[in-house]
Amino acid sequence: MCTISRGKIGKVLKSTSNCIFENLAFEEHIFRTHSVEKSGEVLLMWSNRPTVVIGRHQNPWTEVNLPFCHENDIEIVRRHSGGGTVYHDLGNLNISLLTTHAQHCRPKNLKFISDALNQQFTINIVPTPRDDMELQPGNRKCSGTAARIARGQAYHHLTLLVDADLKILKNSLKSPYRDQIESNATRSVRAPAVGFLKQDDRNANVNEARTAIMEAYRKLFETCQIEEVDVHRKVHQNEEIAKILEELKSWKWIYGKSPKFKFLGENKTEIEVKDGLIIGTDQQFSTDL
Amino acid sequence: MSFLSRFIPTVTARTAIRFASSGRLYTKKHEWIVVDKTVGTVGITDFATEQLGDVVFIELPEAGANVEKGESTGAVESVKAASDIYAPVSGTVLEKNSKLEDEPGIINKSPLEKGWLYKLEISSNNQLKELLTEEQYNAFKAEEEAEH
Repeated sequence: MCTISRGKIGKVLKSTSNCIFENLAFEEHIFRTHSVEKSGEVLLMWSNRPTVVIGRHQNPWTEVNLPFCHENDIEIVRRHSGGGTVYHDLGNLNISLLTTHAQHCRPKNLKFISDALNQQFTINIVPTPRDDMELQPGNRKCSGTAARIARGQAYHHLTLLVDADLKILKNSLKSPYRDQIESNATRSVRAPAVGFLKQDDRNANVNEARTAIMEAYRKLFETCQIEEVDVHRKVHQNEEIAKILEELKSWKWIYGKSPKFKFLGENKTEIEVKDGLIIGTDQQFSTDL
Repeated sequence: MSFLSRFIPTVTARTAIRFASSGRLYTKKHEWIVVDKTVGTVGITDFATEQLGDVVFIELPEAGANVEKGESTGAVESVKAASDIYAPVSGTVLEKNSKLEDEPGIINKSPLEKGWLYKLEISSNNQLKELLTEEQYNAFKAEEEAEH
């Protein structure tokens, strides 16, 4: 494990927004504007309404059951970091750790987080070599990790399933068209088993999980400020953040950013798609064609 | 040496020697560039690819895109981390290495040759002076490694 020590100053930000777009925009904004070297590390936490989040270089038509999500009001979002696709709702806690590039160490983060949760609840969470976290026994994946590195800084963010409806989760992550798409987009690695904290400790809840992680994080620094942030207000008041939000919500980012791919339709028809548009046309690709 | 000065009139004789001997110039963000008249070929160094690990996806700029020195021109994904890559100098992209889109692993096997990222038309030769020579880059790398 990396031996670079943490700095002396930390800050915890608890978002009051339940909107995935607002939270991701706020996270990206902090990443771009907060200097860890000058002002210390940051821990940002939030939960949001039902959403499926794909990684930066993925293809939503392959990774997401789009019709199911549309019918059930589940948002579809592409994030800036790499990695695979995750489902989350209010029973999930998102944790984002901002450090310098040199200090970025996912195993170290997962260790203090799993230790804190194992102390708080009667559970046994174990980080894996893939930087997932699994509930034992049973190798049940309850957390997925991704990261973004730029301008000498990095964030490591992860999901944590405290409570979840596994049927909805499984349905939203299984695209009916996944075998009909040929693409170099990064593919999610399907976990053989999925679990959530409440399965093993009926008292587990997002608020207590958040507090446990926050307290453990605090102990890592000499001084640590804790703030509740009205992210909804910040996003709409600050032009920079509003711009990031608009981009995250745009069709061009969510669908158009998919790496070029071939869709094999019925009757052996092949549709080539680049930037989300059918090649040679202005038409947005859709599986309803 | 004199033919170089014809194309780069502001370059001093000493700088001209630099280009002629090293061929490759570097940035502190571990990008490299090889310049042939006004066309630069850009890539990332083996130091960078070793730090990254197995690359699973490379996001490249499109031909025709204008890039500014120091700006992000795409990203490289490895072990779930998306790392930005930057333009060493300003210019217009002429061609991207599409082979990397089908086989991103090439960049791990051959970062300095087959793993080139894109070629661009350089807008200003003055910016080349701000880059590191091979010796300067090696010294910079040694410093970075000592800090870890």
